[in-house]
Amino acid sequence: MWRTLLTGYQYVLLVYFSVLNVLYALFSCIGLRAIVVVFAREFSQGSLRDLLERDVYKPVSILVPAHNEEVSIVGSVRSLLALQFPEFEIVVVSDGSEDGTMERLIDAFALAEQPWASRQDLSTATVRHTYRSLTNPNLIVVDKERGGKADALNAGLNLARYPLFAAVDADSLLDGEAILRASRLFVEDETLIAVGGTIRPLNAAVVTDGRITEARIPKKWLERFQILEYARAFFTGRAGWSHFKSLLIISGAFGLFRRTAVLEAGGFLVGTVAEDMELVVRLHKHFLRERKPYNIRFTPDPICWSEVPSDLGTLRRQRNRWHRGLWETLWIHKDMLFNPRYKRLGMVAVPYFWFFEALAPVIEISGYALVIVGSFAGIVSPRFAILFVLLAVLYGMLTSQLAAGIETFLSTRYPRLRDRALLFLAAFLEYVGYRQFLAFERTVATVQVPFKKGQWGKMHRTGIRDHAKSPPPTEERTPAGV
Amino acid sequence: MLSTPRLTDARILVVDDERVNVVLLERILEQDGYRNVKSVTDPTEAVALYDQFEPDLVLLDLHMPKLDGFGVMKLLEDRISSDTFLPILILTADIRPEIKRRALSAGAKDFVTKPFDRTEVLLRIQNLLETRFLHLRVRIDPVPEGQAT
Amino acid sequence: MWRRYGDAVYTLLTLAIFGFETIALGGLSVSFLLGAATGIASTPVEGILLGVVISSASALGMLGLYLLSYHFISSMRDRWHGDQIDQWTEWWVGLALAGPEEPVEDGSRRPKLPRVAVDSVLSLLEAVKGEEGDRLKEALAGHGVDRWFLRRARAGHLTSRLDAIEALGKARLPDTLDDLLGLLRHTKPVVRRMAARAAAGILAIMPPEPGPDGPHDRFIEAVKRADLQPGVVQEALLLLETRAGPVLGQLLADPELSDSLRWVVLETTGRLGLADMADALAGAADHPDPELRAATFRALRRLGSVPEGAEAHLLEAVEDEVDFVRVQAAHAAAFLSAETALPALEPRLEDPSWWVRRAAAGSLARLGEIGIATVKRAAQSHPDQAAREMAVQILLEADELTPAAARLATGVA
Repeated sequence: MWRTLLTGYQYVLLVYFSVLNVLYALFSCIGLRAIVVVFAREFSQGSLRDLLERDVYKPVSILVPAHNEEVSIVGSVRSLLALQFPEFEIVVVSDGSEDGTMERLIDAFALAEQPWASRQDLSTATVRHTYRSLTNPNLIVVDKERGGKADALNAGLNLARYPLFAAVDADSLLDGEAILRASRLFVEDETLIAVGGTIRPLNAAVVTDGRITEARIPKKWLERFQILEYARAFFTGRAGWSHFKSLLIISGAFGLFRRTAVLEAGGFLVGTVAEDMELVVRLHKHFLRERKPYNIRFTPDPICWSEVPSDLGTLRRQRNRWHRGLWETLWIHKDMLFNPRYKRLGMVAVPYFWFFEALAPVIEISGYALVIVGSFAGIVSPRFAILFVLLAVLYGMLTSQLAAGIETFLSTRYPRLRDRALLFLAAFLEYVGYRQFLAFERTVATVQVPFKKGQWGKMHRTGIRDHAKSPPPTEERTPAGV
Repeated sequence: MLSTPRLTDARILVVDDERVNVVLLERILEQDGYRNVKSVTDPTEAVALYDQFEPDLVLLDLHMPKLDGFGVMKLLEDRISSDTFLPILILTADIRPEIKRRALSAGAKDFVTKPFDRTEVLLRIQNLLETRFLHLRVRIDPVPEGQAT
Repeated sequence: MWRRYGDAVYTLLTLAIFGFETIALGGLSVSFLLGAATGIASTPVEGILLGVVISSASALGMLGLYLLSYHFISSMRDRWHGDQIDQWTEWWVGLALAGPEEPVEDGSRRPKLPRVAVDSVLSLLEAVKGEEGDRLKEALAGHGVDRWFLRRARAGHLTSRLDAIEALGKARLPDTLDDLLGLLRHTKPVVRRMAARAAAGILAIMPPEPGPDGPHDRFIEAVKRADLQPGVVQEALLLLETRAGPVLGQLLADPELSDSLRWVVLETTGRLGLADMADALAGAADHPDPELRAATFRALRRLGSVPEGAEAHLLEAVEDEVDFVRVQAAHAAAFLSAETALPALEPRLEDPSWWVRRAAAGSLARLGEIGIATVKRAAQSHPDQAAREMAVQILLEADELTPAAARLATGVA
């Protein structure tokens, strides 16, 4: 009986694995066509310039929630102030920071405390003080009691005064044209309510005066693998879903939203670790229920650079949190699963996320376990086991390489040939240990979901090293001569 | 006593991220007799080149990646002493009136929108250079000829 | 941001690889099922599995090879492209600056221009106009470039159509206007959008032609009949630059103009700051649609003046039942005389909507001494707390109050 069960499960695994890879492949193709063919041609450089020079834009409020970000906050805000966009404001919300975040901000931007008559569209934790910068009139800083990232964003929303708002991470660096590229989609489509951008790992990039001057591959393989992961997630995953108008995730590191739409849907949800995904799913739900025409899109132009974990501990905690967030969001909106009322989302996108995103690591790990246990127990022939694992790894490499391939079409790809060769190599190495490690962590996260609701864990930040202030790292540095 | 320098000896610096515009301006200036023209497409190099070249006139584009015209003007501001007259002529496709106002109050002495008319640009350049040389003469040689001991 | 070559091959390669792999995996699953039905994992399955593994490995190798070669090729191509652009630019600039004695090359004897050459001359046309620009355009027409682009714009693959339409917009050859206007009826919205932009760009440099059926009229007709998003129409109208005024005036004067187009016209007139059109705008001040009422006042505020005919409507609108109309009316009221505006704005300080309160207080502050005095009075003694807070806020922003005094006034520590 055991044999039949195991064999049956083997078969399920095989089919699951096949379907998953075929879907990946499909997304790769669609993503490529959606980006390079359609998008790149549709939105030319000329029309981008015209947006800037002809006043065809909608002003934007940039919300920056920050908790204990004293290392990087001033640099981030400076780079935001330097964005190329005709009219915008920045609202930094310090969410109960206990370190020097507020002090550094007050110092750097000549903040003056001002009582603020604000709307209370959304209820949040108490706002202690509001500040306005004397040197930069479009910078507002809010100091409030701790309430979590979603709560901070809601507080920022209460103060935001422009029709569009961008939710940005405090440790992200935006491309100078980021807001321009993301917001032009709103000009041409009145029904658009949210736009997600592409995030690229910031580690090792050369930053001068708050701007990325050169993209470089970091030294650690851990960080290199993450570059590929992001490429895969954005260029194939999100591009594909966006093409079918079923985009479920907009990264919290950079998203541009229509303020009225988000307020209508109720603002950000406090108490979940994935408030970015949860909002987008809720937006879909709300507008589908109300039967209002709407659109949520993705722009593949890489316009946001985010620091990614460089040590295993932080990476594990981050992925654990992401996976728990995914489960939390799916569970909160479980009524959408296979619900024809939500059309494509209910019938295709949400089920996909349940079975091929949330459940995938569990099945993957069980697959490895089965193969190992089975071959030792004699149920599965060792040859079969080895070949199966090899196949899984090869397919993984294939999808990885495809994503890395899409990146070569970027005109802002890594300039040094050595870097690109390393990335090429990374696509192979990623599947020899790294992926399996993450799959294990995500399986652990799945088990922890009922126990760890809304918890973030400690993050170790190294901060953005600005090369205008410190000497650039040199490869030729000998260990002794540091 | 200084001999009056010819306008065409003036040192002109062109800053524009589009290669095409740079070539165009260089040839236009060359055809009109200006021999001392240097150009740069990377605005971050503009200031270094300014220090080295000490131009009499700067032709500056506004919308450039990495560092825009306003950024360049701000950096140059730190280098120009209050009694130096450094003419900056802005050449941009941006037609918005507030940008013009902003540029002129940020230190630009003249403003031309693209696409521009060659004759008009040359005349404006000439005017700015004449003013610049007059300024230089007045500064160096305040006592009129004939009264020198 | 994206290179435009090599993607077709890459897509095909991807499709090929995964199409094949899908079949292989399907076969594997089926054979496994059969094998399992008749026994446990047996050799034929392993054989197929081995086969699939080998083919996957070779697919990976193939893909890797393509990518590596693309890296090299694209690097070289980028460099080559840069050199070519430089060379062609020099050639074109030489042509443009050549005096009237030198004739322009007769296109019939020259071979077709390479794309690089066309790109460089189109870039030049964005930089220079006048005699030099005309010479370049003549050269373009002489080489049949406009006909070439028109052919590509009318038919063919979507991406090349969009390329061609954009190029025509940059070239700004008046003869191509009508074809572009024709494309405003195309089924794909992105084609319509690009065509609208290109047509506007051409119209911007055409001298105004008196009489009916001139290019302006044709443009207006085409835009009215086309199904364009309001943002797209706005973009196109803004691209008209100096020709925008007459076109907007003509559109406004049309009593049968659709509401959405009227809205766009109001917005655009405001953004372009066409002050002499304030009177024409004011007609929509009492329009049944609140969006249009609001748009009228927003435009008047941007223009900085409220014509006499609109005053009465404005005062009514300040008490409109729709909140965003009240907001825009309150903003525009700053441009009325103080005696007229004050009695209308003061009651708005206790309006239920935060935005209206802010607009009213802000406009009062801009009405001069009397206005400021009114706001100060409100800050001290208005019965409604929200009104007091807003008054304090506005005084703070107008530098009429120090932060310390503001904190005292609102009782914030």
